[in-house]
Amino acid sequence: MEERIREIILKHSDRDAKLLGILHDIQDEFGYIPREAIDIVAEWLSISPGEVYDTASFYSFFRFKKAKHVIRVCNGIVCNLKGSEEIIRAIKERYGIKEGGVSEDGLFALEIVECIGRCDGPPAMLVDDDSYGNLTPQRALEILRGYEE
Amino acid sequence: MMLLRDAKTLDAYVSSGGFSSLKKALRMKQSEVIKEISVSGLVGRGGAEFPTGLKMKFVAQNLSTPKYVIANADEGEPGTFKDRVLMERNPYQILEGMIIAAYAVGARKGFFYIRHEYRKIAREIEKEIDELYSEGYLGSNILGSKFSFDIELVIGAGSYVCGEETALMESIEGKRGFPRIKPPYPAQRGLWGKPTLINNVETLANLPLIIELGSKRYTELGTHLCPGPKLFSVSGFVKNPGVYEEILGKITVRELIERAGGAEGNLKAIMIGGGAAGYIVDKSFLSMPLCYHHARERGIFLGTGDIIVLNDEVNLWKVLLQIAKFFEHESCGQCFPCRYGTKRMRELIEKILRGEGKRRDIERLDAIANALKIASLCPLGSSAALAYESAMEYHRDELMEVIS
Repeated sequence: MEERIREIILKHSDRDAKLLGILHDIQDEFGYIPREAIDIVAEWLSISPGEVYDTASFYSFFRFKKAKHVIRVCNGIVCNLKGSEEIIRAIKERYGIKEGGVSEDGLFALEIVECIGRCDGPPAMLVDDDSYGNLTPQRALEILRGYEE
Repeated sequence: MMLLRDAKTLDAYVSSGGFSSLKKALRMKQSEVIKEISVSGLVGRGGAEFPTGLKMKFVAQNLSTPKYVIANADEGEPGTFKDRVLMERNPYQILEGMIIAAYAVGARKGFFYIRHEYRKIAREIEKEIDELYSEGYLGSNILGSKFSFDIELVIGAGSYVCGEETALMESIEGKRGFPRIKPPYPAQRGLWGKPTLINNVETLANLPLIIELGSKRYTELGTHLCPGPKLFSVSGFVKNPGVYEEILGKITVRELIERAGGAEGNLKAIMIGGGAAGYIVDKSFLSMPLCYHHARERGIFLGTGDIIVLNDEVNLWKVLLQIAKFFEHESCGQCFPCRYGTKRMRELIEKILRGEGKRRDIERLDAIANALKIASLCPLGSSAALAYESAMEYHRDELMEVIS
């Protein structure tokens, strides 16, 4: 792990805006921000681990629990008016996940998020980086089935 | 269509006149470019409506170096998706605007800050930036001139407050997105304490247009009070939600809703300006021309240019609860009025929705709204009660029905 994190940090060495980019790459690589990564990043950027954690923990995108896929259901005002709560309920029941939790098999994390800018096709959700709109509970579950392998 | 044309490839963009404005600007003096932008009357399209030319002038006049330019694509206002659609359909015009802005203010380095919810678009933008390097539109001695400029892409990480310009700068610097106290403004001390020009991406996309048309012809597009094109995000209970480009002042709220296919069901209320930091008004606003001036005359702001249509099946208290939850979640926690005020608003609205609302609770909500306005550190807190206050002004009878 240490080797891989070092490679990621080096990739950002000629950039002025480093920390957010490094954290993104670490999360892409491991599916979350491991505790050890915080220490390694801190050492290489010559800041304290507390400072790295301070930043990482502020942003809701960065995760400290591992999951293979992250479902982010939009519960912004427009999606909410168009039935996002039914989508959330269906996903919770199907995978037995709570808001902010991870399914027992580690496959899905569920997050209820604010507006994801897809108000022209509500209700909408993101699965990892892919966005899906005009959802019904059935359609949302069908989409997620595609991520089960 | 001046902003929303489809030019997804560099070839398509250049063959429809793209980058001719940059060439033209590079032959002009920097002060002449800024003068054109000032005379055009362009104001910021991210919601704050600050005159763009004036902002550029402040940065240009600051002798401290290096200087930075930031494109703000951290579109987080609920109900707003115009920047997303603009980046999907016409990304090069934003980048061209950014390069022109950098030339005008004397910046050598720029940052394109985009929210992580748009990561797929961010990957495209990154490729487009690389392409501009290889074609000589970015890097050293752009198009054979003495001007050099680099752009770095930064992806956000899920924080609404980072759309606020100083919080965004903290975020680029690798810190938590805490807004700074202003002044100093970014033009004085911005990114890493250096003079910084920060503009919304739609604002930047207007710059090539102004240089191409000349400020005089650009101004003639709109009314004398509000020049230029504007993107509007129309959503909620309308038949064809989407982004519509209109010339400011030339169309009313009603006409825009009709362009989006008309309301679904009976229109009861309209959210204007933003799905959180916006206003919940009534039908009397249907006749309002969409123009910053007319909005101000009626005591509201166009904000990011959102129109969310609410029909008579919508419970306005539920809408207010969603908005209150939004602000409670997105408050960065740095200042007390916002951290605590947004929480109290949510609790009181939940109490009302349980059917336990008393007049005393309305008085409390009014007091919190006032405190948020006068005591918050940044616009997030001071706008957290706009929806509640406007809903109370325009839909008081309905809201008070459940209060005993």
